[in-house]
Amino acid sequence: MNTLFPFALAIPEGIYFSAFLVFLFLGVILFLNILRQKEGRYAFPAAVHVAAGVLAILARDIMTLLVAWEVLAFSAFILIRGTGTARGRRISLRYLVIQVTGGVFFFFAALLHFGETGSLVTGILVPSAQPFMVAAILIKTATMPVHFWLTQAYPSVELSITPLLSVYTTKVGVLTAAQLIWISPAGFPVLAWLGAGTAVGAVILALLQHEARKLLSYHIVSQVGYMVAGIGLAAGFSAMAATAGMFHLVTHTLYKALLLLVAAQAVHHRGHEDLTRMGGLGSRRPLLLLCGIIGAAAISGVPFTSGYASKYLLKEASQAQPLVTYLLYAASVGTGLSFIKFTHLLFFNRANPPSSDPSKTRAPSMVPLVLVAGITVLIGLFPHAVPGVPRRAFFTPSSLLSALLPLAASALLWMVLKKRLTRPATTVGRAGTGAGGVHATDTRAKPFPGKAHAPGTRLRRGARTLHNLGPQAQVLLFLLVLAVTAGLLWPR
Amino acid sequence: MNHLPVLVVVIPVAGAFLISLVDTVRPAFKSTAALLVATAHSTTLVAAAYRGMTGPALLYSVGEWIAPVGISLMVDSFSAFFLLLLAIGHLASALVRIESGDRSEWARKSAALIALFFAALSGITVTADLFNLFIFVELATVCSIGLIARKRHPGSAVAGFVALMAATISGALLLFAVLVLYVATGTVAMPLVAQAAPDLPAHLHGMATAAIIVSFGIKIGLVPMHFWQPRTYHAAGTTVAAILSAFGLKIHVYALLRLLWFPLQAPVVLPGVYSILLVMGMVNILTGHSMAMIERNLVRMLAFSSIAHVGYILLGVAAAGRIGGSAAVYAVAAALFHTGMHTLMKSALFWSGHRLIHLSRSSRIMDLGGIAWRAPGSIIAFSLAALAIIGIPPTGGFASKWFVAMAQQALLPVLVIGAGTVISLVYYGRFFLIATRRDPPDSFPAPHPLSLRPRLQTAVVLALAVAAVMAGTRDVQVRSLLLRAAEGLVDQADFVGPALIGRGR
Repeated sequence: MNTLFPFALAIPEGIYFSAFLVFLFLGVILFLNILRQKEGRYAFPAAVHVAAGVLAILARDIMTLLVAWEVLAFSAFILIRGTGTARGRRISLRYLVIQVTGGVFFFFAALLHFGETGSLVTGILVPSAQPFMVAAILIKTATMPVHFWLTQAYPSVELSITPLLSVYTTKVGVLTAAQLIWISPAGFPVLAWLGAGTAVGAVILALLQHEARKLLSYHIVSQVGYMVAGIGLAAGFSAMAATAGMFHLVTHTLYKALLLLVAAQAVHHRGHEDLTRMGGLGSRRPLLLLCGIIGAAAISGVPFTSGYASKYLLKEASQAQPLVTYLLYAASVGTGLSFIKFTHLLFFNRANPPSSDPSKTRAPSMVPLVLVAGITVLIGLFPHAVPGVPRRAFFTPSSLLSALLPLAASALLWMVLKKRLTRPATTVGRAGTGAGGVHATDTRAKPFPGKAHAPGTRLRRGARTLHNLGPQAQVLLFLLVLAVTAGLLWPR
Repeated sequence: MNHLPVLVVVIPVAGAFLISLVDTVRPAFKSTAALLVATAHSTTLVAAAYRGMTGPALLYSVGEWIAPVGISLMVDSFSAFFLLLLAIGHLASALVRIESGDRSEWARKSAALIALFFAALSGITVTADLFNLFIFVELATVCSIGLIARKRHPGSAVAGFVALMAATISGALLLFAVLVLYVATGTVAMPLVAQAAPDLPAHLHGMATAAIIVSFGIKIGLVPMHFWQPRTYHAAGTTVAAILSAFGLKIHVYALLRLLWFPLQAPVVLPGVYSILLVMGMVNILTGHSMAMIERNLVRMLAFSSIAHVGYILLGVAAAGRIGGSAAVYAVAAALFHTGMHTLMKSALFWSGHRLIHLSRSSRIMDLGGIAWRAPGSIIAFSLAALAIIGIPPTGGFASKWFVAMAQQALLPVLVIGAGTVISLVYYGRFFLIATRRDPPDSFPAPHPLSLRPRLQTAVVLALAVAAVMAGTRDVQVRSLLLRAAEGLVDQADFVGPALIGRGR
């Protein structure tokens, strides 16, 4: 008799080893960053979150992977719950429910797989389990249209928590997909289409954002879409696509953590999240500027940055599927545009309103940023040094050109759209500024905020009343059930 | 002759009198006496269970009168598993009650009632005689009504009456079924009825089966016969509700399974009954969870959760009856796994909830805001048990749901199990968030003057919750035990063999 939870663990190989190193590295750095903030109550859930992320990549059997999924979800739930305000409670419960729904789909898939093969070793699942696994993955990777849990939860937590959250949950979804999924319904790379579509759609939504972390959250959705596209192409369309997707996971995890750390610094410096009212940080915080530029360049895929290398690999892998390639190019244009806006508003925009003497920042707070930025630069310059990255000539003239073209398009668009994109939030019609943006989100989540009764109120009341049924009615029910049961069991 | 099968009934009955006596003479030693009785009973139960698990079935004829005339008692591996649950139950409920500060008259009576209740439950588990089973079921009912109505608030009497009414119908139907079988076969000894069952007229057999299903369906809260249950648990209070739900309910599940498989021979004679149970199981899961989700009272919420979890057990049972043969053993083992897990989880939930409700003097969920910071041990136990009952890997609750789902032949019950997980997450998660909120810091009433730090109670609920969580990672050991128990139900050679030897002697 085999145990249900063998907890088979192994240090992974190839590109997974790089992901393992990144998980470990960012886990330690971001955990220390949280400790440094004197947020003692987050220490335990944060440590558990990091451990679960590392467990996910070490797992060699499906059950351990599922355990890692659920532990990630519950520890993140505690982190998002934060101080336990009404809003934090609502968002965290929604987050937990959607995550565990993903876990339940995983449960179905594992059950079907085990029922057919009798084995729980990590590997491509049986075809009947694939649809359930894809549903689980779509939730976990925040693929549109189930991305809302991410864009609601990540911007609403403490500044030091967002980078940590961004590292594991979606990425664990991607690496699970890379290990378990092989699906191409009717010969079409549907998963790749979904991923690439998400990459574009989320960028468009990101362009509409004015809050620093909300904008970055939409970019997580978008970038994870790239990875899902890569995994989706792995099912017989391209031999290299899964590796490319995983390489993008490695690079993106690093530069997104960096960008979120930069945003956290800026928000901390300013005391609000509204990008249009930031500005002027470039001259006051040169080191922050440098880190921000590195992160923005990497996510936009500027040559000789880490994002360039992984996106180049992904686009090469998607060549057999022109639709995916074009969507990814479109997403690149949007990403470039969005980060020109981001860096402009954060650093170069005229301070608005001009800030008085900013609070002094201590040097140690910049240590994690510099470390992560350094790794990002190194990966960008020497992509081959990353374990598991296939031997490719990354810096040929044609590939450089193919990366520069979307960037040129971004720059062009920026010139046209600059006014529109940098308009202060208030004039766009959004009443919210800073904390006000929070309310804007809430109104959208609830279509009728003023309505006293939720739609199910009458139903609920009815069900509760029904359960106060008197004795006579209950006796009648008993006899009725007896009659029906006897009728069903009566010999025919 | 080994007297264990009769001792598991005699000891607590004698113990109940002892407790009453001590309570009259030296009230201060009442708790000690109750603990003593519980320890003695649990030891006997474990010994009997050990014999039932390891050896062949243990047959006992009271007064050496053998089967057709006398009353037989029987411990086989299947009943042994439930005896183990009772051992945990009696000891834990005695430990939990030691620190109770309630000194009212009914509270003093309840120690004796609990001992009697466990005596009746042990009787149901060991008896091999239909009429004797009816007697023990009625005894259990009387004790539970006493326990339910013991509280002095207005709802209790009504709830007690509703429970009494439900129990009366249930008892009448059981008596009816026993009479039908007696008239048709001329005996009430289970082995002899089982022998005659395949040759019974089909309509008599169907009628008896329907009466038994409804009779025990009322007891275990099958939808739509569950309406009395949440109200009763609410009125009974958490301490008693835990005993009723975690232990009483499970023994009635035992009786239902034993009757279906053994005297009625349902898998062979009437397999259609399992399709009914399958549908009822799914309806129970969905109804129980959705009602728990909209419930505003903690005790009622847990009561509805019990109704849902009976559904999981039934899904395993139904799968076993529909497969038949040796594969049925795995399905029964899955159902037993969930039975055992639910016993641990639900007793931990009720008893840790008891502390929270005691502190805030209200069982409305909205009144429990921030209560967690007053009783950290209880909320930890509650959360662990809730994780297990939601079915989060690697807890025992996940493992038991996994095996119940594995046993299913269709996809629909599996999807229902998955939906149940998500819904239960919503209501347990919401309760956790409310209980751990920090915004109203000092809005509680002053703590109750009595029993301020029930360390023992907290230790017991933590132990139960940790056991429920750990059972998932120790599933190999648990399952080998459960498979042995399931064999006792499915391969009846164990049960029939010695009974016939006894007859021939």
